[in-house]
Amino acid sequence: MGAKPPAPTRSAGGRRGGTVRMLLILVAVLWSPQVRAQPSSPHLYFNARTPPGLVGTTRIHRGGPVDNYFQPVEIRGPAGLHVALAENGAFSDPRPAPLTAGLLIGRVYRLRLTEIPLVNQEGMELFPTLEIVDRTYPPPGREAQFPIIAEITLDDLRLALEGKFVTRVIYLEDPTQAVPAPANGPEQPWFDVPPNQDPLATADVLGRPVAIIRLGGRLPMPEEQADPAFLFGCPPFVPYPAKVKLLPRPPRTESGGLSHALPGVAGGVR
Amino acid sequence: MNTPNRNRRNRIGLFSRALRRIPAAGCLLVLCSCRPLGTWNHSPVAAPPLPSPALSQMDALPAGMPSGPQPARPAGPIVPVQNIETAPETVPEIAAMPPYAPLPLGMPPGMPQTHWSPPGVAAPWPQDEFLADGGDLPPFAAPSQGGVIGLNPEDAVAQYTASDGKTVVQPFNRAFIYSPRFAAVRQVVGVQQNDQAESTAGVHLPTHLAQGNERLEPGVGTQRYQPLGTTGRRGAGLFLSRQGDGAVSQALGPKGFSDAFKPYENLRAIVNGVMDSQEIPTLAASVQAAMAWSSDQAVQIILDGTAAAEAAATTKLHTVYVVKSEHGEAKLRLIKTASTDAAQPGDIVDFTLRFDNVGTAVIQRAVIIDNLGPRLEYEPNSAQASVEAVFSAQANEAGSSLLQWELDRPLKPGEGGIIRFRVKIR
Repeated sequence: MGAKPPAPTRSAGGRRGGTVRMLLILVAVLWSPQVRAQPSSPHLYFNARTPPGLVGTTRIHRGGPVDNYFQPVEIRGPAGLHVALAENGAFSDPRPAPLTAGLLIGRVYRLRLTEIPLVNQEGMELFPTLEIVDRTYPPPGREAQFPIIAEITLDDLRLALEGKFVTRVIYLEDPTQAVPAPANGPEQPWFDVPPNQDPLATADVLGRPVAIIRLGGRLPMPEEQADPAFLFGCPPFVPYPAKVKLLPRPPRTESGGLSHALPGVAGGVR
Repeated sequence: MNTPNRNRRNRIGLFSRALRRIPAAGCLLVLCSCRPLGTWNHSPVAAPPLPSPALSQMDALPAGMPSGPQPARPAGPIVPVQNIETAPETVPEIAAMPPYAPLPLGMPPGMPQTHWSPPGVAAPWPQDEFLADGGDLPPFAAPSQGGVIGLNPEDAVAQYTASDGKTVVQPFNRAFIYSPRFAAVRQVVGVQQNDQAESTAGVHLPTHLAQGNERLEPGVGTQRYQPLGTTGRRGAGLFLSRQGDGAVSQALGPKGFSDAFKPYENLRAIVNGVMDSQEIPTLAASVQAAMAWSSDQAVQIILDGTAAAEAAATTKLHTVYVVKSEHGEAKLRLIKTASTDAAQPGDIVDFTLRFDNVGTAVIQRAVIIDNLGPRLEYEPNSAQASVEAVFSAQANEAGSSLLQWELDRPLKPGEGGIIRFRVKIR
């Protein structure tokens, strides 16, 4: 009569329900647009000395429209430098810099630099790697106008030929923290970090890393130049036509026509 | 006798069961509001249209703002230009918008694509690829004695005095322009440095601590910390010197204003100050272009003593500020547009600021301030004003310029004007 009913114990079904609830909450949080809206996140577990390809592959695993996207990249260099990309197990014909191509994110491209414009370095070659680690989102149809600028300076080439190893992390500047550098500077804005500092972490602070250039002085043996491991499997790329420079206007003749006007055509082109 | 206790236990039991179902209901609600992940792989034809920033801005017109075509005001002091070469006599037709489609995977560049942003995230996205000019970012601008406080780089505000003597600071809308800029961080290491670090730390330290300490001394680490050349390259002193030591004042009157409207200004909202609903998509695109250029570059407005209530957010096509008093309502409408929505470093971009007194009270001592961001460089002698104003430009903390127009005469109800200036993209 006066016995109390047993205290309600939590059943196994209740525990399962709680676990399911927690899983649902976790899925909802991870699925939320705010989480997926991040175009990039700091590379906490990597640095610029990780093997080529690792940082970009991790970016693909984070999701978003980056897989199989050919990101336009403009490879710049000093005047006279020629650049070639690897294609079908061999390097294509070198083209004068700048060279623009659509490159896949997460893949590593082996470049061949020739015609290096340095004194007493005629005939020398360098074989840097270019890794694309993130993409941009330009207005539709204007992707080619806003490529990622990956610049290799003359100083980089000189250091590499002296035996140094140069790492360049290209990053998209945060517009609110941008360096107020002049618009038409001779080179892309860049600065050095000491060897004990990670350039990838520094680029993470200043903006969003989008590409990594690794340039050293080691040269492959002739038989190694076709090695798939050396060429990182020759990932595909989309070539872009080279920039066309407008020729100067030819001088006009006294008759008002152009000097090269066809005979019999009055006045030529006006 | 136990009935009241039993009823109480039943109520507690019901309440606890209801509490247990609240998290599950919340999860269900969140999951139902999410969009499927597979939208990137959908067929472009079957995909629903993505929300357009312009359409969202149309929906968010402030209360009291006319949404349809209005009769044009008589050409008076608001229209300061003559010989408008490109002004159409009829309402321009709006080109049919292409259907929105999700970003296709694996499509090479150059193929027709649409703007993409993650579901639930407002455009423009990602914002680190856009320059912004206009608006008022926190800390918000406020009137201060003899000036404005809280003016960040990229802010653009107007300050004026209402008829009851109160000072109001009011921001312009933000204008966005797509202009990503890339920089690089370089690291140079030598093979000798690597060998030295591995040999001293790994081999000799455990057995010969003293020798190990001696080997760690020779200053290699000191040299590694040396190249903090970054500070020198990022210093703003170079640009401060370009702007001059002090403010450059210059009086601008109607004579200094270009007669013809620029193509991107050919809107009734800019030319006549009349909001036409059919122009809103075009105006939205132009405003969107201007919004990319400044964060603290928004124009702001100050009324003596009292902060004006913002009737529209700065992300909308225009901003109307209202100060209610016994002497009537002071309403100042501000519109900021840019000449392009995408630009490369080195390009020249024109900005146009349109201001109108759409209230019933006179606005006095109006000052329009535009604080340019670090990637915008003011082109000297490019400032124009359709009304008499004193213009000044001075260097700001972002390494750019702070532009200021102080109107000479009060703005009566129905009056307005246009301000133009030109910047170079860094």
